Amino acid sequence: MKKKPLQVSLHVREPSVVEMSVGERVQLDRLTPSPRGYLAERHGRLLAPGTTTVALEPGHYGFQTLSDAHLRVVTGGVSTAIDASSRKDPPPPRPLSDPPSSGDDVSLPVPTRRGDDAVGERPRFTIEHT
Amino acid sequence: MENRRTHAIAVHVCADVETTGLRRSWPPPVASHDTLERVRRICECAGVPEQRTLAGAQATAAGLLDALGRAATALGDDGLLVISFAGHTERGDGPIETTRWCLVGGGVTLAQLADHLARLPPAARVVIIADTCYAAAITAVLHGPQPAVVIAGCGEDQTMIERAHSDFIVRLEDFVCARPPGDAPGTIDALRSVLEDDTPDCERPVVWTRAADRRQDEVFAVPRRPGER
Repeated sequence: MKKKPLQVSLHVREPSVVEMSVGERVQLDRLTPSPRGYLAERHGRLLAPGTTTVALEPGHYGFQTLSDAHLRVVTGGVSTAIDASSRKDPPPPRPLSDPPSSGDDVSLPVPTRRGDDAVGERPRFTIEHT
Repeated sequence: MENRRTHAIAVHVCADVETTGLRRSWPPPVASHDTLERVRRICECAGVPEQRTLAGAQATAAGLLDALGRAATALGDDGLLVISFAGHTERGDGPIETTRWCLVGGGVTLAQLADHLARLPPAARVVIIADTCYAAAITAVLHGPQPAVVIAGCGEDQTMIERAHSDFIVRLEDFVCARPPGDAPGTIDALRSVLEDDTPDCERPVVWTRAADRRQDEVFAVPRRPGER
């Protein structure tokens, strides 16, 4: 089955450290508001396949990948959501396994794309809080 | 009417207003104007004398196909046609040739584009610069005899994230324009290396040409003057 991108949004509420485990080279973007929606701008170096520890300042971030991904929140407060829509105008992203006390935001910004969603299987995303 | 033959023409499609594809309408991409300005400079640097821009309400399927038809008549036998597109693409669920560049009033399928490009003079060269999702899908559809190069912002099954500007267009501009006057343009392999370097696996630019088109001295987008070989 063909894969289609998994798009993950992160809301970092306080200075945080996360471990990101990915299966391919991934670009982490910082999302900043603009009059025409949230714009993505590359944040740091590409993440190599494997596990990378990343320090994040408060703000909104996002990445997309064609392979399964796992996020471990080492310190701080991070909420996540995936763009599970099948079309470009998504409904509010579905929050994942953040604990209820972590203040999940169901309206995390999702970077927009230049096209619709192709047919395919979406990779899995898991999150772990320590 | 005079049928003047020219050695190079560029047609730039800038979807900077609301466009539609097969299923829905799309807001203008944030970077579309930036891309337009850069591709115009790229063509100037490459020596393309005639550039036509389809933007705003002119960015229609009929406008684009008409521009390609005019190019087929105006272009010299071994002339160069550059087409750039900055906008949205709908992949849909159909075969790859039904993928659409989204334009004002409705999209144009890649099959339609390929059919019109096939009507160019057989020895004319085509360069397509696609700043859009599924950008490299056109490589699977081209069927004319013309040598073609596709410079795509991402793979045929990949999507591009909205940014203030398209990184691959910035790199392409540097590659073509930031070289001392008189220096030979870089090769396609060099361009590919520059565009692919340090990019994520799921949004990687593509530089494609048919293997049969390749020569050892191939260079990117240099118009030949009449009689020049």
